[in-house]
Amino acid sequence: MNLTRTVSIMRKEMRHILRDRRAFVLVTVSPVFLLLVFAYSMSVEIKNVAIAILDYDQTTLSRRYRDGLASTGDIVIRYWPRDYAEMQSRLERRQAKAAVVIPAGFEEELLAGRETSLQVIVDGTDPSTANHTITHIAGYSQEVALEILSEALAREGIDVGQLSPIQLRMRTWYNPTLKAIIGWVPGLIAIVLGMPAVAATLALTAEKEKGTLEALITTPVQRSELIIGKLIPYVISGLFSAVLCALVGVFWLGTPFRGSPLLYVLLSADFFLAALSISLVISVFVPSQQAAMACAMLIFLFPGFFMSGLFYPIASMPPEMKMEAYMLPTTHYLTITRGLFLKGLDMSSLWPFAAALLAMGLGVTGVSIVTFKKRLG
Amino acid sequence: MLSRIWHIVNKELIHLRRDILLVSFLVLGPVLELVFIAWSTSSPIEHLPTAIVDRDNTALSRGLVVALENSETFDAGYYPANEEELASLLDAGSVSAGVVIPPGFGKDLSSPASQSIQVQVILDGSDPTAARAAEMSARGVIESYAYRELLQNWGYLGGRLGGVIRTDYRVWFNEELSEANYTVPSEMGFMLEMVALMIAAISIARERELGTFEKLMVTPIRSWELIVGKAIPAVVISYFDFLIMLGITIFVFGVPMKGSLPLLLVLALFYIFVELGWGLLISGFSRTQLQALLLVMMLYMVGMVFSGYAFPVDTMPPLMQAAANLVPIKHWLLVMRDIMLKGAGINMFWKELVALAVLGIIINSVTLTVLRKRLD
Repeated sequence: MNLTRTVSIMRKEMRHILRDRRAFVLVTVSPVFLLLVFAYSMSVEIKNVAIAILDYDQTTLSRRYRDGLASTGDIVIRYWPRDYAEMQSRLERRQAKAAVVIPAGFEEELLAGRETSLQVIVDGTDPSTANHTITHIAGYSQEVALEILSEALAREGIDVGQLSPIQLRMRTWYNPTLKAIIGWVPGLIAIVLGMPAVAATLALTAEKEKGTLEALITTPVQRSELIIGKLIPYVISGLFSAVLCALVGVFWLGTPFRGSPLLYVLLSADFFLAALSISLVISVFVPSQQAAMACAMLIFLFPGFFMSGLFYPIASMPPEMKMEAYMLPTTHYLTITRGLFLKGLDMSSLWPFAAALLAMGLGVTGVSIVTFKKRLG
Repeated sequence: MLSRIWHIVNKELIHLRRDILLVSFLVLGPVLELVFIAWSTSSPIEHLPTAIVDRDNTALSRGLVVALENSETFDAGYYPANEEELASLLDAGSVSAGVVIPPGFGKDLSSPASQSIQVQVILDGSDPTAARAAEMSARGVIESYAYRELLQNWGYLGGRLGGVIRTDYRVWFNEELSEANYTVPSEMGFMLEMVALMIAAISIARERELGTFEKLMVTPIRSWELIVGKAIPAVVISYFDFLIMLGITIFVFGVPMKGSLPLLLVLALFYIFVELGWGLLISGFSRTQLQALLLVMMLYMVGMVFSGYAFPVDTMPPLMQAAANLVPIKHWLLVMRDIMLKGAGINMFWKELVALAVLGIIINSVTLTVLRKRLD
């Protein structure tokens, strides 16, 4: 391998990147833009779930139940249907996500110490909202039952003290307020940085489609020089985006950065090496930019989004898919960014992920050097 | 006129036939991807590795541990001796949640006069989805366990049973609350959007990059004929993908099809036209395929945020909620869910259809004007 030849390939590639200015700006700035759009619009909080209440009882107790239900802000009582049919249409039209039917005799039964049943109807099309609403209503109903019981006991002269005896102390570490932006930014950075990798796949294939690869083949450049020379500029441009994203994440969006910035740059380079080596392999096998694009999207974009653990914890996936998830560079990089930004981890806990990325990067680059023939077709 | 359109269609088909790899990516790629993604995400968020520190160690605290272990959400694989050990488990990412039962828990629970019974739940906030699911589930499990015990004790003390409010749940539209019924149709929507956008966006950009565009310009083809000619193969491929994916959604993942299938089939075509407009617009603005690709990816990811798939649109800031209405896929996912899960007719989702139609008309007329300016 000759360093001068590698460097000239690098310079040629750099010039390609810089010449298409619009693409260059898109590649480096779009991750930041996406980061901002995501950060400002996402929250996992399920709040203000609109419900309808159909109160057949209309007593002091049923009113008390109704009023307390909406007090935490998780649920908003938006509709007071007159009959079952109206309630049904509210649910069908998606105006209400759930409905509570308080039966006639609710108060009477409860005060007599008997069992009474509330009917709760939830719209199951969105299961997580549905589950949340069910948990909330069930917990609240138990609380009301306890309140009434303790009041009844107090009347009989047995003082059992105040209400809500369970204190669940929920503490969320690394992101104490579960504030959406802080929790999401590190993971999102890992995802949006897949964009430079997809772009590189296309840029690497362009040479083939335009026929300039023939010109390269006639030069004395060796395949390892060609491949390494082509990879490095994209790693550099990717790192530029990575640093930009981190700066925006920390200074604009207010995400903490608790780890070492140097480690972030190093491990990001590690990630780009792994991701770009996959881009390179695709570009070796695929004839046109269109096909390269389809292929890169299928490898980076979708799995990066859905299977890297960003939206959906890997622990909950079926075992076969867990393996698949660990084969994606983004999965490991996501663990790294979360660890660096939020947990302040160092290499002693991050090394397995860094090693996985390095192994992918070196392995796949090796494969592409071996399989890339300096010929056409 | 028709023959000129047909020539363009034919030309596109020849391109596709030459690039068999591309066609297989376009047709099989989304289908395979749907299977993978739907398979990975179709169960509820469960089996989160959990550490339990039981510092009470009484019958009642052990009862709570069993209740937690029996819940689907938590896989209690770790029993650290103290909080420091728990902290290092959370740091390493070995567990996503920890539950600490303090000493005196059992005593407090069995003596009715005590003021506060404490249980501590620690969540790994760096994974917000898992944290949220764990929080909800922990609340449900711990509260219902404690309330059950308390009601028993107190009711007994009063010499009678306490009045119990039983909540009878009925889930409508997705009776078994299956996660797959929600995720799989949405993911199918994303795949469809991607195929439609990608084919359309690259079609004209490619001609321009390779310099064949000039040749088209000297032919008597009019701009709208070119656009229609380019759109037809894109529609055919996208629709074909849609049919296969719909089959997989229904037959492999068992998502019910309660509404009218013909209605869904017609509306899918309608939706594809709206997305194609976006794709062609991008195509008109891009000089190279790389630019087109980058714009598609941005549009696509923005669509994903506003689609309501991962984050409820209702809780977004008002400005973002308004922006969400400009995203075709948001409306399409609602329509698809209404038809498939609710068996609804047009009267239930006409608003979404109007929104889609308005978007389609605006996008496609902008596309036509922009492309006409570039072409003529």
